[in-house]
Amino acid sequence: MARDPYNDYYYPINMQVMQVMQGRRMSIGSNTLSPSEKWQEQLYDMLLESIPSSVLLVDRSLRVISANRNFLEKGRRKARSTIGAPMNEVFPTPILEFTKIEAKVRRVFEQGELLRGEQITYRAPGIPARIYYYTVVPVKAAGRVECAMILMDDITEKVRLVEQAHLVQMRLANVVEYANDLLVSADAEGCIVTWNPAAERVTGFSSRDVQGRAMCNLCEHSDQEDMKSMIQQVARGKSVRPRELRLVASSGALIPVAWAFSYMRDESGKVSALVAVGRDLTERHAFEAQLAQNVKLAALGVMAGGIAHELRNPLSVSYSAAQFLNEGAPDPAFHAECVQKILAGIERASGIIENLLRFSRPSEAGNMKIIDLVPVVRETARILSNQGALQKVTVTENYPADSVLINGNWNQLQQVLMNLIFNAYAAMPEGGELKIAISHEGGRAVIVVRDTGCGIAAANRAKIFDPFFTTNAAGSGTGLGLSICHTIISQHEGLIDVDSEVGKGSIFTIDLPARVARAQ
Amino acid sequence: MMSRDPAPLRQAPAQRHTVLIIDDEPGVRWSLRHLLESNGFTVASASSGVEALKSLKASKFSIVLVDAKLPDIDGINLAQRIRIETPCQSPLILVSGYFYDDDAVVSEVLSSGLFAAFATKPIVHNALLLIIRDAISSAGTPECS
Ligand SMILES: Nc1ncnc2c1ncn2[C@@H]1O[C@H](COP(=O)(O)OP(=O)(O)OP(=O)(O)O)[C@@H](O)[C@H]1O
Ligand SMILES: [Mg+2]
Repeated sequence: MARDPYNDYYYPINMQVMQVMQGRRMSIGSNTLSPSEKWQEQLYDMLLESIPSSVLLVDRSLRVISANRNFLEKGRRKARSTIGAPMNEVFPTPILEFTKIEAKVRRVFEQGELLRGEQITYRAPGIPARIYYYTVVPVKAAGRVECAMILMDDITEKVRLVEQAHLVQMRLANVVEYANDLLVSADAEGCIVTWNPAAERVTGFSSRDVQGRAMCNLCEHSDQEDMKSMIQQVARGKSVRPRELRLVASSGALIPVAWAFSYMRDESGKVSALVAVGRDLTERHAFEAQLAQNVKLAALGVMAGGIAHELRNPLSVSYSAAQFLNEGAPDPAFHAECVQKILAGIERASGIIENLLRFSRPSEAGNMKIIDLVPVVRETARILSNQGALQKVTVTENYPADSVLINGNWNQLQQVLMNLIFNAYAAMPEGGELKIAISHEGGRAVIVVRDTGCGIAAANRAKIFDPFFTTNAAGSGTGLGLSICHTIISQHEGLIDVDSEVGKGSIFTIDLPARVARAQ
Repeated sequence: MMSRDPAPLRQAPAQRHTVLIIDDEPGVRWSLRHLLESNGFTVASASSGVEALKSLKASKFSIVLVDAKLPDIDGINLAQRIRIETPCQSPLILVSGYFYDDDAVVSEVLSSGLFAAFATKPIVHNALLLIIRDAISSAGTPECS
């Protein structure tokens, strides 16, 4: 950007004015004007008065012989005090000194050559400074320079705009250059056009390496279809939600990046380019993992108490029963009762340990694969439908006609659904309605489990996902159900949330990233 | 064993000590009731703090067994409320699997006198009976007032 922007403001109109003025000077020479000459003079005057330039005519003694309205207005001058005044009275002293305009005009008289391309900042009393671009034109009669015409164009606004545009451009260039985020522009097909330094740093690929390559080919294999579909949607002018897709660095490392896409349209309204902003999530993931670890440690303290209480109750019951038996219980009915308490207590203690294990070590995330969510939910609802019928709960299911693909683990998701459905049944001891629905929109798969049960008090809403938080009587709930759900859904990179009104019911919503079917 | 008690009775026709068991776990209530009844106590039980406060306002007990974790009121908090909100002055015993013997919290509630004794779960029958009898005899009254 080294070119001088001000050179663009030399307008052809000034050339015409010059010629007109030259003609006029000729006719001033002779005192008699023919009608056609008179008409011409009127035309010149009109022209002079209406052009947006300031025009000043000075004679060889550097006195002003003519000034158009524009000049007088901009300079806040009267024609009376201007015409006939020496040029150095018309311009303020600082301008004269700074631009040496007098000397320049004098040179035009001497050399008879046009002078152009200078700028003056001129400040008339009481108005803000203006910037002019001026040209000094020698007006010749019979080979001699009779007078000089100073043409001044007010370029204040243009200069300001150019400076502003330049500044904006510089700033943008800086943003792109120094952004921590990956800034990638691509054509409508998703082939890379620009690739900023952050993108180079994060991936290890230079801008030259990736130029012209399809963006989706830089993604991890299993994310390529998703990237492709995102690009296709944006290219069709649709807005897409930001999502996380991994890039493969030149080192082979996988880099989690949150991508947000936007598009640019050309004059005909067609999408002509795509712009992708990607945030490297590596650090954030590491931080989140650490945070999760800390939260787990803190939870461990809370849990140790919970575990102690939960486990020692059934152990205590079994232990008591064993002590009674050991003393030799006389009554056979009581004997049987003791045996039953021992068995039940041990089973419960062991069940609690099972849940704890699942909470602390949910089965491997590596077991995830692309599965259809609909049969998982349908199957789980079916397994539990007997209990619902017993409790007079009407179950309504609503699934989309086509499959809803996600990257997930069937067993874990089934466990989540079971916990939610059991909780809903527990909230409706007198019966009620349970609605289970899956919906699929904008790259998300959403499961909704809605009941008409007792609802959850506002004070408890934040606690229900905590391990061991339960409002159920001892022996009928350990409070691990929802914490297990939370762990599993987080592992699926999803969210679980609740909305509830006491006495009306509760709505549990699970939001999972949906996957696009891989073209065969 | 009860006949050993020297203090005169004010109300109860029989010389039996009454125990209030506060525990939300039905199995624990079952075992304590069986243990205490077969050892000559009269047993009443409550499965929540609110229910316990109600019972203690209405009736008198020689001794009260308090679980540390109840669905509505935390056991230690409940003990304080028993002293403030009910006329009960009889010994309170903290029975819980939530603490260990020399747990800081336990030491504190024992030394402040809020609780007369602590028994951990799983309950060792003979140990609990000893603790209860000790507490009753050192309280020196046959009944809660
Ligand atoms: N659908 C619901 N309606 C009303 N309350 C609910 C619902 N789901 C959960 N809750 C509340 O959240 C608490 C915690 O639920 P969570 O599933 O974690 O434990 P739980 O059901 O009590 O025990 P567990 O699932 O371990 O057997 C419940 O005790 C209940 O108070
Ligand atoms: Mg549950």
